[in-house]
Amino acid sequence: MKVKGEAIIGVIDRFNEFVAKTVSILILVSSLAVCYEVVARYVFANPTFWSYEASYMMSSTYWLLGGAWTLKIGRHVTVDVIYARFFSPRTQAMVDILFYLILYLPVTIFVLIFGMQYAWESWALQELSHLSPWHPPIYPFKTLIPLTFFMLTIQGIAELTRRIWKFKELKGGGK
Amino acid sequence: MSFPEFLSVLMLILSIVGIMIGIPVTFVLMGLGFIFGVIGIGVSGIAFMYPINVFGIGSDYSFLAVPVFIFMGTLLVRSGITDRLYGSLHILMGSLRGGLSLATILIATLFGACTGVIGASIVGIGLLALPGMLDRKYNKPLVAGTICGGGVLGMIIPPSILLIIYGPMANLSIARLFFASAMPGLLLSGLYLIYISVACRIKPEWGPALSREERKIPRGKLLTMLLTSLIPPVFLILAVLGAIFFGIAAPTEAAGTGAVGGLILLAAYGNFNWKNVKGAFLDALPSVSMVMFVILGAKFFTITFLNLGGADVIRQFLLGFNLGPSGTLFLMLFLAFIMGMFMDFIGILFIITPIYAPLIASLGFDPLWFGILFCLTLVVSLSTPPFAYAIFYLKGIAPPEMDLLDMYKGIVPFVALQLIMIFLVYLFPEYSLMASRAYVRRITVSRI
Repeated sequence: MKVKGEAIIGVIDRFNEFVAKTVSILILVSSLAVCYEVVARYVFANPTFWSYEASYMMSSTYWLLGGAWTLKIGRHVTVDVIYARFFSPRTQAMVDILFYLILYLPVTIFVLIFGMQYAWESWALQELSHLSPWHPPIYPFKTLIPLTFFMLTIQGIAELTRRIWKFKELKGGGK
Repeated sequence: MSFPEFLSVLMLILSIVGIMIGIPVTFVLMGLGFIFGVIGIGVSGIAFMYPINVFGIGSDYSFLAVPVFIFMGTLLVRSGITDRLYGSLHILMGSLRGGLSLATILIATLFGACTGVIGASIVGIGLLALPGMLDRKYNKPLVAGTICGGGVLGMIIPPSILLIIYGPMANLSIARLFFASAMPGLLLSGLYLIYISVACRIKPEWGPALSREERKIPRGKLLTMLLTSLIPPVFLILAVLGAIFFGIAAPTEAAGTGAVGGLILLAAYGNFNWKNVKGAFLDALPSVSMVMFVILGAKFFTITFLNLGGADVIRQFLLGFNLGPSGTLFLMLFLAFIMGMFMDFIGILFIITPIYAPLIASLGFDPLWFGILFCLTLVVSLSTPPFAYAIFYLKGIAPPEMDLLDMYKGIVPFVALQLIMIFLVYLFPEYSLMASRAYVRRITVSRI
């Protein structure tokens, strides 16, 4: 049971890491797009119509799809004075388990469900963006929202499972 | 107090508890926003609020400056410029007592500007400067104070992430905020330098000067070192801020140009290869994601908090004391200070700005001036015990022989200087708004 679980968790970890690392190049492209706009406007006196929307889409993809990996490597900001100093490893595992069950998973699953509906409506309408005269299709970008929360949800389940194992292990060890 | 208002207060208290026991800030805010939203507003009321707001934050052009500025910072680190600059300032200021501390503050003034994220700037400056100072037997509290005090400069000196987020929320131009904060930021850095010099003059053992042998380096070589390491980054930063000042580029565009400048510096120092470029965007990813997710979590939280009437509770609390404009202003800053000790600054900005902005207008204060006071207050709260974020970040990288007591002791004078700075901005609003006014005049003139 645990062996199979570990395999699944491994897949989740690798998937989220792979996606994050793959999209991370977008910040470079996005910065170049932003810079190009300035050059186009001042040097060529010919502002682009695409830079604004292309750049926010790329950099938002970067940080949205990087969120689950950031969770995995423990980089979402925490104040761990009390956590690291006064909690035993078992209490830490317990706090984490309660956190994932009460605070984390309900909201990520909720946004996943309604995000899917939100993106779905955009696809059905073949909705175009009205934020600039370019009017690019906006549904791919909106699809990122359920995708982000899907990645967060599976990563949350992976983290939760790991904490439960740790908790049991510590209990078994008598400490 | 009505039931929804009671819920809003409960929500605020629980968020502080959640953060204190070590749960990631963003998910405390998100989760509580959701749970209380279901109770107080109902599922159908909040269902599409979340995707709509993720979309709103994702497509916001001002917020786009955050990832791009952070990317510029990681590029600069990869270019090796900070090490070179520290190395040459080290020798240049070595003859002075406390020279390494002075060099650290100078570096922090320059590069704090680039990272903008408090944790990143303290860790970055700490890794750079800590070993050198400890090797040379600098006084440990002074070392700790220098790094924490220097690290928070990045929050005030533009381009600061704090101001990029605060501007759109308070309906203020980010560019104007940048220029309003530049003067107080530089002055604070100046106060640090004076303090370190004076302290090391009175107590020479705090910061021993380098021996003659260590400083023995041909003057010409030193000059080249300094010029090649100082001029490019200074030029880059001035170009970024200059582009904003002269109305050539919006802050986000300036950030993009700065990132390309970072790539050019990477090439100029011979470090331009795929490994470093890839390293820079991978280094930036967790920082960016962390900041942007706190924005997201704080947004989820405030939707519910404001909907439940939390703003009224705080407003009534603040006005209930009947302190008059100045007294109320002080109370507002004090509340921000207390919250700053417990909560991440982005969370506070989101919760407090919608409440404070209208209040400031009705009290008749200049919102720009208040913005600077507010940001300075958050800076102080970052360094104040019992929950001083700045110290926790330093603790993470400090060797074990440097204990928390050293750090708390060391930070005291720097916090005192920050408080003096707040007081100066309070007394002389003209001074802090000078650059910003010049900027506004320039923009108006160029439009005519």
